[in-house]
Amino acid sequence: MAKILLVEDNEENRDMLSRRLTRRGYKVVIAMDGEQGVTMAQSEVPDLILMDMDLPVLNGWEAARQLKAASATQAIPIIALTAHAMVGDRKKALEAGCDDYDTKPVEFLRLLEKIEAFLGKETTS
Amino acid sequence: MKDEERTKEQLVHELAGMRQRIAVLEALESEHKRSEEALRQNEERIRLIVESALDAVITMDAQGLITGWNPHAETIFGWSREKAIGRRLAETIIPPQYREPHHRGLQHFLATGEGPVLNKRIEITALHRDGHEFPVELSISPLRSGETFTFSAFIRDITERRRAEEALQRAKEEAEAVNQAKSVFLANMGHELRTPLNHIIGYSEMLQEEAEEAGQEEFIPDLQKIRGAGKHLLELINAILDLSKIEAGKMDLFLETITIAPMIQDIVTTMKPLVDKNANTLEAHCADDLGTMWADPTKVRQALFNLLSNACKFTERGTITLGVIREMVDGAAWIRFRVTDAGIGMTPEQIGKLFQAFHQADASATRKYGGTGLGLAISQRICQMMGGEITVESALGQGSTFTISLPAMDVRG
Repeated sequence: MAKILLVEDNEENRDMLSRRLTRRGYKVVIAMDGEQGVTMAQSEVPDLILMDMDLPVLNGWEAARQLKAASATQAIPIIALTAHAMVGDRKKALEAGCDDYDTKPVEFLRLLEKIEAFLGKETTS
Repeated sequence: MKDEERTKEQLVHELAGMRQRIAVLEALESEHKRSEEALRQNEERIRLIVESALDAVITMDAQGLITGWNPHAETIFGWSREKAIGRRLAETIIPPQYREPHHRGLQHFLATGEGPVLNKRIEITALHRDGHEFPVELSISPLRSGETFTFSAFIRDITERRRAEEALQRAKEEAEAVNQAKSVFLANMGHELRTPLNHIIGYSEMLQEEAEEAGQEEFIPDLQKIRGAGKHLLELINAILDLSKIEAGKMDLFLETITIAPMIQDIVTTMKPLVDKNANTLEAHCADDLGTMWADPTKVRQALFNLLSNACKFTERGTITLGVIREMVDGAAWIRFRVTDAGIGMTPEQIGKLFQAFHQADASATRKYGGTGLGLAISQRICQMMGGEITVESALGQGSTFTISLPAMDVRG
């Protein structure tokens, strides 16, 4: 069972995403801010990280940078989620080391395709 | 006797000659008097014109002394004619800080004949007798009389005009600040509105999935309606946000090289469900020489989607064509995307309102066809941001053609 770390501070978003992913057979672990996200990425070693960019304590951009700089976590794919549907965010997310990017509100099926694309790759490699 | 006769004759003759000369002299004198009278009348007319002028009319000699001062000069400067005549002009109406430049200018003119401020309308600051300074508009003309010069100035007090201009400028700045604040408010508000709305959409989707799994099919249509209404509201909020971003000057362009033909193919594929909805056909024609363009791909797509979805919305069982060509205009390359539909068309009056925000052709169209009424306004503005525009040709009942023209702006020219 693939493990996904969801880093999200908004309760409803966390609830929706984790429930829908769980129903599809993923094991979901949750962090509420960027700092906790970095810590849990090290302790839980998830197969994929879904990271909101607008986070308290440590924002998503910085958290992604730290994760990609550490050898223990740099191989874990990160999908950035931003609330502002702006073209600049995509570039910014990729520059911060994120592997992909999606906008909030999450279109669940589209996000699921992106997740499956990474986890499929993970298992074959 | 003979001599006597001759002398008498001679005298008579001389007398006649003298009378003649006297008559000539008298005629000359009366002529002179007439022209003197005419001159006097002319001077009087000019004096009356100057006296009644609504501008201050002041004359000054080459020494800088006041030689003429009309009633309006008395009004705006506070000096009576008796007091003003003979005073130094500079000390009378020029504020202290400008006296030195004035003096230098006068000397320069007398020496060289050059006077950059002469014979044109200028705006400067003048001094009133009571010491207050005020803005004036004036023109100065030098008049040569013999070896020397007289300067005449027409001066108008523009305090009121300045005040009105400043008030207008302030009002404009205030209006702009208010507009800016409104846009910032909308942007923030938009974010605040979207968060709970996304929860409504998300949870209705989840409930739908759960209802399907639990076999409770009867709830599904209602859940779909909640989700549909939420999506529509989100679309409206996003459009308002876009518009406020554009108006606040916060809509950024991310320019890159776009290969046009594949983008069009991609758009045609994405449009498929919408084209099929009203049983329409979409035909795309790309010219062979399209090549690339330098633009913001997301915004080009947004504008094209907008035109195409409008075409789909207003056409039923018809053909929509998307023609793309590259064209040279005055040495610059332009890309034209032409969307033609077989829809309901528009009257010239409807076309006039088309690109205004919150306008569909008429209010009943909004109920029948849905949509935000903001799409074209946004598309027009983003095309203008990229240096282009959207134009439209249409007639009621004969369909419409919308053309996006954008500069290709690449090295190919």
